[in-house]
Amino acid sequence: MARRGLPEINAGSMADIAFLLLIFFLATTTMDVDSGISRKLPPMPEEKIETPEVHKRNIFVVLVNKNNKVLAGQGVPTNKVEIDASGTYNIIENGAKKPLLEELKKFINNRRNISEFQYAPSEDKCAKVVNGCWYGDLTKNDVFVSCDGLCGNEPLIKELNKNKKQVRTTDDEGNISWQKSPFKGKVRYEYNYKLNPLADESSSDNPQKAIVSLQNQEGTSYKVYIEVQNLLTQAYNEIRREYAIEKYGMEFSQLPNCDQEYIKKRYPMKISEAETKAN
Amino acid sequence: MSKFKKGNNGKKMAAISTASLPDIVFMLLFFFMVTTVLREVTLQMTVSQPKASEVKKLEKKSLVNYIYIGSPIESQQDKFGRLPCIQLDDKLYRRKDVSKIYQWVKDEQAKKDEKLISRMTTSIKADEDVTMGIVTEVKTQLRKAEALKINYSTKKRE
Repeated sequence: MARRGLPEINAGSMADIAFLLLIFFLATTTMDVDSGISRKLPPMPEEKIETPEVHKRNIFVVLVNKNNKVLAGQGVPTNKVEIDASGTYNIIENGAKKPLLEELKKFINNRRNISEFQYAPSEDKCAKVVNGCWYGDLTKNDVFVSCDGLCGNEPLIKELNKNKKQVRTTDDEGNISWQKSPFKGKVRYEYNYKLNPLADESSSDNPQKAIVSLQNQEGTSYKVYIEVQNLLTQAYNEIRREYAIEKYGMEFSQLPNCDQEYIKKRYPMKISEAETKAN
Repeated sequence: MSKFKKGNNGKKMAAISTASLPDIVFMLLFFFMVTTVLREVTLQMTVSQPKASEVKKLEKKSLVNYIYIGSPIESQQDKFGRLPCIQLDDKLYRRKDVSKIYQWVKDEQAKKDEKLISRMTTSIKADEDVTMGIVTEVKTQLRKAEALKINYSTKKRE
């Protein structure tokens, strides 16, 4: 038996209750986005492992000392860095003033020896034609080697296919040797080795080898340290952006993910944060 | 004068129905409820972050741990002094207790799915006036705990 005329509940105050809750959440919500400079720390060595020797020309050291003075230089930080009124960092080399940012970019993108840029495409989900050169779309573990200067080099491609499981390497003197491929698949392309005549002989081999080492001391101020970190990031970002515009005619940030990854691999951000030196 | 009275003719204006008001308000309410992150630590130190222009947004907030470095606020100063301290969640630690970070990171890692551990980021929110000594000690602890992805939290500068 249904009850007749169940009294209706007045829902007029519903809006008020909801408003009250709404205001509470409005007040407690934080909309700020966290942002910052991302870095990857090196893993802690488990035992004393000998660190691989890095050639002096492949390392650019920036030191922020305990008095917050910046020193920089190839291999050893011997040159003073001054900050001018507009906040630009200038490196003083043999009495000449040069902007540190430009020097860093020149160091990273020196390409003295352009034979060693290679990586396995198993990490590479990108398959496309860049600059007339085919790359990507390789079966897993095949070696992909970028083809700057190799396009249309028929004899070299034939030679490579003959030596399927080997990787052609060329040392600094230009001697060619074939080595067993560290990858399981076969080599499809190789870099045409050459010493870049436009490059600075005493600067880095290629962007993959170039390391920017940022050193600091116990008393270094965090503020200055971050400013220098920012400058180093800026150098890499500008190189990537310039390459994106040159090769794709687009801003780096507007490129599809896969192309961004390619450029990131081409110009890996190799910034080493050495441990604090005592003095 | 008569202009204004025209068309009114003594008739009452039709009332706008407010019946859908609760629905609209509820919609907004749910939006804010979903976007709100309730668990925020109360800072027990003053942290004014340095500025940088080349910043990257931190994604996946649930995979980010925060380490604060700065001088304690006044009410904590008689206990912790004025020298820069480290704050993990709601607890302050002196610089000499920096090794506590190791266990804290390990605990945080244990809470997460194993697959996600490598994607975890530690955000270092340090005051711009601290020195690198303490920051480096924190970094060493993070390296020991294999929390290698870090982010130096900064404010955006145009």
